[in-house]
Amino acid sequence: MRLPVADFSKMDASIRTLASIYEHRKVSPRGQAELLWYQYYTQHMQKIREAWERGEFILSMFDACPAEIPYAMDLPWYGTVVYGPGAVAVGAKIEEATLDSARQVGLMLETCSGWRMTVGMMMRGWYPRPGAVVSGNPTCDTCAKCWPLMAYLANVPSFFIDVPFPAGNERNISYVATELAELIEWLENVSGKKMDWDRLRETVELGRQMVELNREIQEILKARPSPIVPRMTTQSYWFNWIYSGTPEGVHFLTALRDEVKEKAVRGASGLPPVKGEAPVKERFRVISIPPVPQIRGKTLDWLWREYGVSIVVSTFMLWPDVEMDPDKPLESIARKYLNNPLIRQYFNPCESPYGTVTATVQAARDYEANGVMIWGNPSCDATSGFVKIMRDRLAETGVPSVVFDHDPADPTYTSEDALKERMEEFVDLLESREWEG
Amino acid sequence: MPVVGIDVGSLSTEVVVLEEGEVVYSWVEVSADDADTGARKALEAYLRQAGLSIDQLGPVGSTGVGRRDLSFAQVRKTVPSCLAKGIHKIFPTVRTVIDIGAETSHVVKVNAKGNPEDSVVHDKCGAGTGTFLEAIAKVLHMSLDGMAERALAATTKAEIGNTCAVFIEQEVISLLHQNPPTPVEEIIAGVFAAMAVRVMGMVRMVELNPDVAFCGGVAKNAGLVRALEAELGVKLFIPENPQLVAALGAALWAGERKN
Amino acid sequence: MSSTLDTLNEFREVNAAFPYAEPVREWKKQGGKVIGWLCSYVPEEMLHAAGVLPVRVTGGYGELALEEATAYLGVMLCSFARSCLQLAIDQKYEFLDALVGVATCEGSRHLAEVWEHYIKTPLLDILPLPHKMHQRAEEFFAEELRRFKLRLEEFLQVEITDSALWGSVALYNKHREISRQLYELRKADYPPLSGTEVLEVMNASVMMPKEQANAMLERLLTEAKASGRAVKGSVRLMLSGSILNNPQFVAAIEDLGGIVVVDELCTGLRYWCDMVETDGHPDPVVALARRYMTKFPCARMNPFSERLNRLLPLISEYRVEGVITRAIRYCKPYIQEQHMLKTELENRGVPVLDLDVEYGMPGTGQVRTRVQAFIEMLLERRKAS
Repeated sequence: MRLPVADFSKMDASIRTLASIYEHRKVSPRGQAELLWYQYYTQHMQKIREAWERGEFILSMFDACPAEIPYAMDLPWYGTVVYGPGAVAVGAKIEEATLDSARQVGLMLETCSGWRMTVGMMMRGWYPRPGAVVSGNPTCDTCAKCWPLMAYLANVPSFFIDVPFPAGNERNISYVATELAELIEWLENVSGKKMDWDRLRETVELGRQMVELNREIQEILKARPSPIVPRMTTQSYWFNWIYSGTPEGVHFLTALRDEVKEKAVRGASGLPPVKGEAPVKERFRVISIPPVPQIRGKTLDWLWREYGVSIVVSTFMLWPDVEMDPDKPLESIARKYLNNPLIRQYFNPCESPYGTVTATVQAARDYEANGVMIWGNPSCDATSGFVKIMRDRLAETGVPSVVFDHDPADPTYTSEDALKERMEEFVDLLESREWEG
Repeated sequence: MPVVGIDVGSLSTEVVVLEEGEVVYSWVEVSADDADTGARKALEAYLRQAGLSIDQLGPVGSTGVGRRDLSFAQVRKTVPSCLAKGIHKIFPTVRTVIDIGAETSHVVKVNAKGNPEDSVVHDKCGAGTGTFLEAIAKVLHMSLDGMAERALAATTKAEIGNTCAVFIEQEVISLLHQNPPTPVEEIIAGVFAAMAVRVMGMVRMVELNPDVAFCGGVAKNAGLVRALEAELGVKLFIPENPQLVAALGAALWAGERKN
Repeated sequence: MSSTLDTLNEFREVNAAFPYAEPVREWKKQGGKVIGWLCSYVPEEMLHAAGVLPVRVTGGYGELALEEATAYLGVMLCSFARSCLQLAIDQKYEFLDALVGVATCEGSRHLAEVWEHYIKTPLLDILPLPHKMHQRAEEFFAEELRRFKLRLEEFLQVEITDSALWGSVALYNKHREISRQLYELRKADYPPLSGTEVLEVMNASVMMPKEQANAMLERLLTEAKASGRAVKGSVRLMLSGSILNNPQFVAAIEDLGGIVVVDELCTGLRYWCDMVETDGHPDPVVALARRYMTKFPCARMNPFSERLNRLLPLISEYRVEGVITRAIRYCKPYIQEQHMLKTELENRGVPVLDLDVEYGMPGTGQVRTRVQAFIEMLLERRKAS
């Protein structure tokens, strides 16, 4: 199979859309954080565009891998999810064609559409041909297989960061730190660039600051009403991946912290009231597992304005305290990687102290949530594996939950009407509990 | 003042009218292109007999997929809430409601006060819905009532291996045409059993809490009821008018409306 | 088909009472403990050395209705995992004193987690397993085995001595050696055993004490050699892919004229094909870790080349004319490596038929049609060359 080398039509379209959203938001701002988000998101793509023009070595990496390493090596890299399926939310029409390509290599409905789209992006040449691919197995089997498949299809070398389950196993820190050391050596060989160890230590310090900011934000989010815009639960989560250990990451999270803090002090909700209308009263506080799919940002805005349902937090925003020591950069980066909320919660037994069920039950308590909404992507083995236990555990503590039969990247899987119907059913259920007291 | 509940479904519109908390009128009408027309038609006989016009009615509650489109409803509630409320009025001991609709099926966990505690819905695959049974009836060239009757006559049932609607239909056709053909009553009993397994899967998601009620139009189908009881291992509570439970619930919600 | 072998019938009798097979029942009657294992990466030797009977947990030999299990593990999660859970829900695994899983794949570990929550088995452990086949992974796994050993010792109130472990290693190595000899017979033009029969034997031998399995296998070997049995098949096939237990699936292929002469299955060749090295290892746990981390890998390991490099020699050794790959719904690792495997085999002139089926599915309908066409194509191809 011969793949096209680079077709920037989709990327350019995404950049154009992002730029126009940015301009629009500048005129009617919903906050500095969101502006920065659009700005840096665009920048992530533009940098690749420019590096390609200069003929530089480009790295394609699963977004969840430690970004500190390419940054410290000054390696242009792109996050395959953010720049692939992530772009669907900004109107890049890639879904039909990429899913069709993935079908040609045997990936059907069983494979998460997000990952199918990334494989399809590579096959279409919509990702520029990278010099190498880096991936790892957290958080899922599909992730462990699709990136090596992409490398195989593009006929480029790939490196696999091995993380034995469970992430919380103490021995994993040194095992993964050694994996990262090997990754650096490997990258130096394939790219010809050298690791700047001073710069790597800086990324550790910046990463530490980012963890701290995340922890401040998660405290502020306990305010009533919820001071965060629903879609920001996803946007901030992505940002933590692709700008991990960078000044941009600190800049964005600082802006987000200041913004939610200001709203919390003022008692304002995340979404501003519609001009000329009274502010919406927060009636139900709901936790989203995983973060609100980007393609449903507007639906959640509707749910707030129509019924006063706020998304108080996504458990993927809940960072634990992570010990970060710039003098032990690899160990620190490994620790941060393994403690990233997604990996910590999904790559430990769900009922263990770090696991997703434990974290969600605790979050429901901490955030005084009225309910939990679970985006039940059918092809996601993780969700399929814990959803029953999670719902039962939540019910034991008196917290109702709802599962949406939904695809996080493919908007055609569930109609907007069907999704709203399920949401209203859940609101009715929350309402009747409210009356019962 | 009469209290009205209207269930605007995709295929049919059900109306229930309460006076002094008791059902005085009910009607099932084929859904019209717009919700108002269907509902007005379903209310026609009542209004004529009571000598009232639409705007002289008491509170009107609506439910079903078309509930938002009904212009004269003041209270709009989703199906699970109405099923819970409605079944509680009929059978206060029921804790689990199974409702098989034309295109959507619900299982609702009901609490002691008649409110929904949890619910699951099934709308992606056809094999757990009324439309699927209609399709099988068509393949067999019989009515739904005919199917029920024949199934009860079966002493054994065909093994239907598939759980997907499309495949079950194919399997039924091949069972009919194989040599020698499988007796029709055994096929029907097999189809009901396959559907019961499907429903059991949904019930498991909210847990099987007795007492269990079965509603929706197909609950009148004795063959399916028998298969479901065998699969769930419980005796089912079936309302006299199983397709009116959601409309009844909507009326009760309307009557409770706090102004 | 040729005459039936007496020992083969004995293996079939063991299978008949699946999963609570007669030897397991007998073991329990004597007061012994039984521990189920979920994946061929569980070092059975350690369970054996602890004095318990290790029994493989599978989803049985037929297709089950999985609706109930699907309420706990979603509809697109591995049908093998859901079949196992369905049997557990139906109380078919109540005889287990413990269950050991491996975090091989998500199907396996989510099954273990759901099992732990809803099924009352006294002890459950999930072994971590690195994905790369390098020295550090062996060390990592050895450390995990030490942890597991302690847990087992505490649970059973026994000491697992080094000499007991070496004894178990010898016993299991013997099993591997006899299985190798059994497979060796399949290299003949007309093997004395069909692929279906071999799967029946493999199924039964993980449901009884290894001592007994070894004795029966040795008898079967002698009998098979003496019988003069010759199973004829029009084309020589390899069966590769996700876990397979239903002999009817293989039977369907062989009914259509093919003969399965070798496999790449964790219930077949991948179960027995690597010995535990006993020379130069002072520590049996290290020796075990090494064997399990370097053995013929499952598709969940990385990179894919490790698996491919082990698979390719089998093609010439067993004179395979075509490969049938069978990925079960929805076994992500096999499905997602399928394209690479198919490409690599076809580049080497080996035709591939890829099937995706439910775990318990016998070979019926569409599968039969496709296998038949594949066999016809292979025959045409042979004529042409």
